[in-house]
Amino acid sequence: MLDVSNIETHYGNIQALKGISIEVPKGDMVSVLGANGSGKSTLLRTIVGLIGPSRGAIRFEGKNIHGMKPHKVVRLGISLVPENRELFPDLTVHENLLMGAFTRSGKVGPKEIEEIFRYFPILEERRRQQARTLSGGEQQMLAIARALMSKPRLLLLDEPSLGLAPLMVEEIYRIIRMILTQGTTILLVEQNANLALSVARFGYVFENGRVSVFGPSEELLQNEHVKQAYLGK
Amino acid sequence: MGMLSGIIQQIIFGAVMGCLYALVAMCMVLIYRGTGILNFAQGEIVVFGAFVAYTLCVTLHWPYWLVFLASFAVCWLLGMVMDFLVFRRVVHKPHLNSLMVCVAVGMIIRNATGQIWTFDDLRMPPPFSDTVFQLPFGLVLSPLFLGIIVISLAIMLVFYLFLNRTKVGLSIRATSQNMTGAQLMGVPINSVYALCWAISSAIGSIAGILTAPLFVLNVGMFLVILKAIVAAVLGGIISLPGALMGGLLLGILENVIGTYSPSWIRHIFVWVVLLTVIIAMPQGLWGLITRRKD
Amino acid sequence: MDSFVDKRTRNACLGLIALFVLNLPFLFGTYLVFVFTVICVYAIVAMGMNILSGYTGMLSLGHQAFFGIGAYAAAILSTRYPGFPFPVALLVGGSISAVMGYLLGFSALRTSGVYLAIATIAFGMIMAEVFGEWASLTGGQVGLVVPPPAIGPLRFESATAIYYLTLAVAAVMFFLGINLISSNTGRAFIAIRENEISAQSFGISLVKYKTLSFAISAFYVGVAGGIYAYLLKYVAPIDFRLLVGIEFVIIVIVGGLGTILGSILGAILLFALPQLFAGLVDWQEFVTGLVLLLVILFFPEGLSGGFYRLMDWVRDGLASRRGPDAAPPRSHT
Repeated sequence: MLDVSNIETHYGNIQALKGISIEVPKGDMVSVLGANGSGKSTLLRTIVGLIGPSRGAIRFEGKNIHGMKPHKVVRLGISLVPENRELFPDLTVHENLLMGAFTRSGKVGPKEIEEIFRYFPILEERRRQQARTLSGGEQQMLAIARALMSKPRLLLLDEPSLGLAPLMVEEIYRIIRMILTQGTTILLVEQNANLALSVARFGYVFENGRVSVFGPSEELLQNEHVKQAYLGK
Repeated sequence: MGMLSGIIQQIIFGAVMGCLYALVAMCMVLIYRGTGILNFAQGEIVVFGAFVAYTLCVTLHWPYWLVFLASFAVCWLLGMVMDFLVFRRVVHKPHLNSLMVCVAVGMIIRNATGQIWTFDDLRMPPPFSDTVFQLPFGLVLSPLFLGIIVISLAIMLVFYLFLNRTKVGLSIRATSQNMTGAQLMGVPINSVYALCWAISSAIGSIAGILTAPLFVLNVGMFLVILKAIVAAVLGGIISLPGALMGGLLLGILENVIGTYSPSWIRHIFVWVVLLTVIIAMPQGLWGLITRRKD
Repeated sequence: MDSFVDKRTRNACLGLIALFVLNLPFLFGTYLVFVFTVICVYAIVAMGMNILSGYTGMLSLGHQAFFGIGAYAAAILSTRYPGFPFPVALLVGGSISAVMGYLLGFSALRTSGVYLAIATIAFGMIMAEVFGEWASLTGGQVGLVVPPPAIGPLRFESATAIYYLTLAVAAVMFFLGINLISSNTGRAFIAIRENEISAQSFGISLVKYKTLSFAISAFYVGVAGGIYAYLLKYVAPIDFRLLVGIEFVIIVIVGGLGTILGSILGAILLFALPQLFAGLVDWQEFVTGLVLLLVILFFPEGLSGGFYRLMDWVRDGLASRRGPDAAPPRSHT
C-alpha cells in the first residue's frame, strides 16, 4: 500500500534520512524501531508532507505523493498521530474530533462521534472539556481518536506510548490492535521495541538515518543485535 | 440631575465610538489570532473602504445598502490580494518583519488612496439620518448613532456565530491554535490565511463607512482607527469578546474623560491606557476575566 | 597574502572618502553642505537605531520622541541661556533621552516584540502631545527659534562651521559605537537578538541589556536631535511625529540592519529620496512604502548587504584570476 524508496531528507544542512526504503502492505502493521534521532519521526513527517524529501519517491496505493502538501496527503486517506500530538488546546474534545473529520464530505453528526466514543469511553466523559485540561494519556487517546475520525486507510503512529503509564500504554495498544482488525493499515514508530514487535507483523530498525535490519517480527525478536540494542536482553 | 444626564449622554456617544473601535479591533484580533500578524495597516484599509463607498454613494448615486455590499466585496478582494502578494510571505517570519511590512503596506495604501481620490477633506453622507431626536431626561440620539450600534453589534454577532458554529469557522480557530495540527487534519492553511485577510478587510470597510460620517473623510482618518489597536490590546488581543469589551470601554472612557478634561488629556488618554495595559496587565481584560496569561 | 592587498585597497578607499568628506565645503556650495550635514545627522540616528534593532533585535516606532527631546533641549537651553555651550546642550539632550529610553525599555520588558513596538508608539504619541501642548516650555504648536550653536561668546553661524561640528560629533559617536559593538556589551546585544533564552542561559541579564540598549540608542538619537535643532534653526512638533519615527526604522532596514555602512547608506537614501522626487512630492510616501516592502521581502540585508555582496563578487572575480590560493570570504561587521 505504501512504498517508500530511497528517501533522503534534510533539516537544513543535517541529513536525517540517508536513503530509506520501506514497504507497508495493505492491512498489515509495520513497525519502525530505533533510538532517538535515528530518523523515525522524520520518516513519518516526510510521508505526510510536513517535510519535503530531497530525494527518493513515496507511493501510496500506486500514487506518487512525493512532495505533496500535508492537507492533500491527508485527503488521500493517510492520517498521522504526531509525537507531540498537535491537539487544539482550547478546543473541546468534541471540537477536536470534529476537526478530525474535516476532510469528510457530508455532515458529521452525533452518530459518527458516538462510534468513536465506543472505542474511547474516557473521552466521552470529557467531551465538553478543553483539550489542554486532559491528562497525558487522555490526550494521546484524543489524538488517536481524532486521526480515526477521517476514516484513514493508512494510520501513521509516532511513539504512541511515549510518556504514558503502563496501564495507559496497555489500553492504547489494545485500541491499536482493534483498529488493525478493522482493516486499517498501520505504520507504527515506537521506541518500546518489545511492545512494537508484539503487535506488528514486520519491523524495520533505523540507525542514524538508515535501515540496519528488517524482516518479520519473529525474526527480529531472535536477532542478536536487535536483542542486545533494543530488547534489553 | 443635569450633570448625570450629561454624563449619560457622553456615555452614549462613547458607546457609538466604542462599537466602531470594537469592530475594527475585532478585525485585528482575527488577523492576529489567525496569522500571528498585528495588522498595522488596518486603519488604511478601513479608510480605503470608506473612500470606495464615497464614490459609489456620492458619484454614482447607488442606494446605500448596495454601497455597503459593494465596498464589502471590493475590500474582500483587496484582502485576498494583499495576502497573496505580501502577507503570505511573512506569516512565519519574525515580528519585526511582519510589523514593518504592515507599516509599509499601510503607507502604500494611504498614499494610493489619496492619489486615486484626494488628500483633501470629503463629506460622507451618513447612511442613516443624523438628525437628533429627543429622549427623556434631556438625552439625544440620532438614527445614525442607533444604526452604528445596531450594525456593529449585528456584524459582531454574525461573526461570532460564523466562528463558533460553522465548519469553516472551526477550521479558522483550529489553525490559529495549532497550525501543524490543522494541516494534519487536511485544512488548507493558506486558504485559511486568505480568508482571514478577506474577512478582516471587508468588515473593516463597513467600519469605515460607519465612521466617516462622524468625522471628515480624509486619508488622515487612519489615526482614528489606530486607536482600535488600543481597544484590541485592552481586550487582550487574542479574544473577540475582549475586543468588544475593550472597544466599548475605550470609547466610553475616552469620551467621558475627554469631555470633562482639557483637550490634551483627551489626546493622550488613549496612549496612556495602552502603556498601562502593556506594563501592568498585558493579558488584557479578557485575560483577567478568564484568569490566564497569554 | 592576498588579504594584505585587500586591506591596502580598503584603507586607500577610506582615505579618499575621508579626504572628500573633510574638504566638502570647499568643493560644494552652501546648500549641498547643508544637505551633507543633514545626512550626518541621520547617520547618527541610524547608528542609534542600529544598536537597538540591528544588534539587539528590538523594534521601536517611538524614537522620534528622543529626537524631539534632544532638539527641544538644545533649543530651550540655547534660548534661555544665550551662549550656552552647545556640546553641553547636546549632552543634556542625549542624557535625558537616555534616561527616558531606559525607563521605556524597562517598562516594556515583560512583553514580546509586538507589544514593545506598540508601547513605543504610545510613548511617541504622548511625547508628541507634550511637545505640542506644553507651550510655556516648548512654544507649543508654533515651536521655538534656535540660535546658532555657541560656546560662551564664540558662535558658529556658517553652514561650514556647523558641518564640521556635526562631522566631529558624528565621528565621536561612530568610534563610540565601534567600541561598543566589539565589547562584551555588544556581544550581549547580539546574543539577545539571536535567541533570548540561550542568552539567558549564558548569564546575560535581559533586564540589564535590553534597557541599556534602549538607553544607548535613545542617547544617540537625542544627540542627533540636538544637532538637528541647531541646523534647522527651528524646532516645532511637526518634526517629531509618528511618520518620522517610522522613517528612522526605514533608514536602518533599507540601509541594512546591523552594519555601520548600512546606517550611512540608509541616511543618504532617506535624504536623497525626497530630493529625487522633488517634482512628485505627493508620491513620496508611496515610494518609501514600496521600497521598504520590497527590501523586507526580497532584500532583507538592505543596501549594505547588496554592497557587500557586490564586493564579494568583485573580490571572487579578482581572486579567481589570481589562482587557487585566493582569499577566503570575510565576515562583515
